[in-house]
Amino acid sequence: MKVVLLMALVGATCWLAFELGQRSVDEPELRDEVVGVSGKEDVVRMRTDREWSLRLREGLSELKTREEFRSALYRLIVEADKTEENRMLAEFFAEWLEKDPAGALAEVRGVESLRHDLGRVSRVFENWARENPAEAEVLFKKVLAGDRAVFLDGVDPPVYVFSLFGGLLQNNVASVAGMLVEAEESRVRRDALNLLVHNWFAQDKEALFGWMDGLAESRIRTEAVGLVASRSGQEDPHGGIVWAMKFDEVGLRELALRVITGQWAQRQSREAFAWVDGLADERLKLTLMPDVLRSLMPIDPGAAADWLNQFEAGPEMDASVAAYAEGVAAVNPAAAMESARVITDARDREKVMVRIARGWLGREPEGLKNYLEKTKGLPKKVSELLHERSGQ
Amino acid sequence: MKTWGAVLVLWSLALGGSFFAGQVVVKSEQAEEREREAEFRVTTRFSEIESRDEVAFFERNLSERNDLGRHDELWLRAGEWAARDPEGAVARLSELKFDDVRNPYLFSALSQWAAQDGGKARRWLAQNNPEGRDRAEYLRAALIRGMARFDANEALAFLQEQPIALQRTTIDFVLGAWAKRGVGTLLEGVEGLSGELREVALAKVASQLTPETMAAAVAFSGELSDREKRLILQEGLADRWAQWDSGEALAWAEESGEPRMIGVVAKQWARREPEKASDWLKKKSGAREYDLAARSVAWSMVGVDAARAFDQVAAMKGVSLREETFEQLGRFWIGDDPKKARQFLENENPLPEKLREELLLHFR
Repeated sequence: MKVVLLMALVGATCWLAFELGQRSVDEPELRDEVVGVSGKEDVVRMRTDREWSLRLREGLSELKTREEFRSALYRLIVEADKTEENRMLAEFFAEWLEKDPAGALAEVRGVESLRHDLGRVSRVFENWARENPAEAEVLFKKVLAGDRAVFLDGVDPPVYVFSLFGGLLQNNVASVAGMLVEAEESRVRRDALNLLVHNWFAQDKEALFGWMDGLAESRIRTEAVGLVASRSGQEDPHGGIVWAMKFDEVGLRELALRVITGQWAQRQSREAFAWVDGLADERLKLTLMPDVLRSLMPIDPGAAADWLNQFEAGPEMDASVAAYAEGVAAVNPAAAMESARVITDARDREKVMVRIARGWLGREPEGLKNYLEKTKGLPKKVSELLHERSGQ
Repeated sequence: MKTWGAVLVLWSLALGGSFFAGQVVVKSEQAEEREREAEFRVTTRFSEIESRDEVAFFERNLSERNDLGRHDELWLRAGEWAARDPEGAVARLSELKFDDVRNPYLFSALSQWAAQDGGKARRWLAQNNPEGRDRAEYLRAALIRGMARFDANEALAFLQEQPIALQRTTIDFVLGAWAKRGVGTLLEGVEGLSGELREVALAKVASQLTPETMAAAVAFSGELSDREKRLILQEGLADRWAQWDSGEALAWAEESGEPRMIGVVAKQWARREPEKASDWLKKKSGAREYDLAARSVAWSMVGVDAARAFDQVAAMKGVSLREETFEQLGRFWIGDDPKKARQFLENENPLPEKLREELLLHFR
């Protein structure tokens, strides 16, 4: 019996010694490894980026907790050089999202290098959300419910949150739209709505219009109308006008038309101007014209002046006069100031004249000085501009 | 007694033998692995046909390189090609028709070649120096990257022959190579640099540190006698440290009393825990060295609790920094949440009267 026990003890201790012997051999230093290979190619020198990547990825699948991932993240950032960091981070975050999506989303915004180059990692978040819509919705709803910490330093847009949102959109736009309707007003919701409208507009305009028609009178409806109008004005103003004219609510109709014609005028100011000028509804025409005039002024100031000269000054003309005056200010500031004096609302008049005078002061202070000396009855703030400058 | 003595001797011998056998097994496995890897390389040298296949692969896929996945595959493939046929890969890839001064696949291949044989890769580039400074410097960066993979000193020597702008952007490769050999090598390396390159390296050291190596760098920073250089390093360290442990980083920064260090730590902390950082700051109001911290925390707080953020700014001692921050935060908030911003601006608040009026102009 004793002999058996002794043999067992010897066996166990020898096995232990064998294990210790194995563990006592370190992973060789890179240089040693190369030196150790005689008469062959230098193995480490030959190692390619793909092989380095595989080495860096080793152990990734064993990470589980947020702390383990965080700590591995810092190691990875150090290990990978800047030409491979983003590629590696994309793989890293793909793994993290699978195991701890909330942790991955919370940490990703803090990786400095990703603030400037986020393509790959952003796509990882988008793909993950597309493939895991239920989990992605939970995360996105949390942000919508007021997780303001997603704004890095308070201001940087939460890019990865919108990557998630982009992935969700590829799944079920209508369900995502419903999520936004239920959410409180916030910057994240506003930006997400923008994404949704642009995405949906490109994919299925009619479905988007149907969704909007079904919305009750609300801020989100007004925002969506503005966004669709903007997109229509850029791509298909005539189609957009037909769509906008169908609104029963005057306010919404005018908002949509103003945005459409404003966008249209930025690309084709003469066409937009002709369309607005041809409107039989005089009130609507005067509402839409100021934005169009702003774009028309650099192209055809004569047409703008001729149009304005058909009308008597009055409160309904103030916005158009202001657009004209500010449009001519860079070329002829004195004429711009005189035009602005026609604005009937005293506060608006002062605001426009101050803006024109400030620009003039920056470009040609002597000219402004002469004008101010010769001209009487100017708003006080305009007369004081020169003193303000000399006091600086 | 003799029997027991003999048993003990045999047992000891068996233990020693087992230990040694364990070592031998691992060492022979390692050697075999190296042999296999080397053998694979030797037997898979590129033939002319394979080279043509690679060229065809690149020509076929180049137009899709804007797809990041495709770009990455091309990059890795270029490196693999160069690992087996460096001259061929570099020569063929340099002939690719490219609409950019930077050909990343040539970069990858040249970098791989430089890792294998810096001298040859360097000679190739000298003989085939591309036209245009940008293109030439881009490829020299590839050489530095490759050399640094195996021999940081060779890379550093070549780097120091380059214009300072290129030195600035490529020193990271050398720092990374040093860091892989340990924090001691990294710090010794930086210590050995001089002039502007040393300052650049001091500012970048932190990006090569992990939680495990931070303490050594902190100790090293304390030994720098030049205050400005010490601060360059310590600011970077504080920023990095605060990313994983704001508490310890803050204690260190506050002990130093350097506003820039306190500011970067507060910035990192507020990114994660704006409210906690704000509570901490409230206890510090009145001290000028916390102005930068107040600014950073306020930026993270404005989206969470804007009124609290403005109170924090109001406590800042430096007049111009305070007013600048008030204005920037105010403009941001008006864009972010105009309704609340207007309400706040029209009621009792700590903003200077003139600035308040200017901000309210947005609503007229």
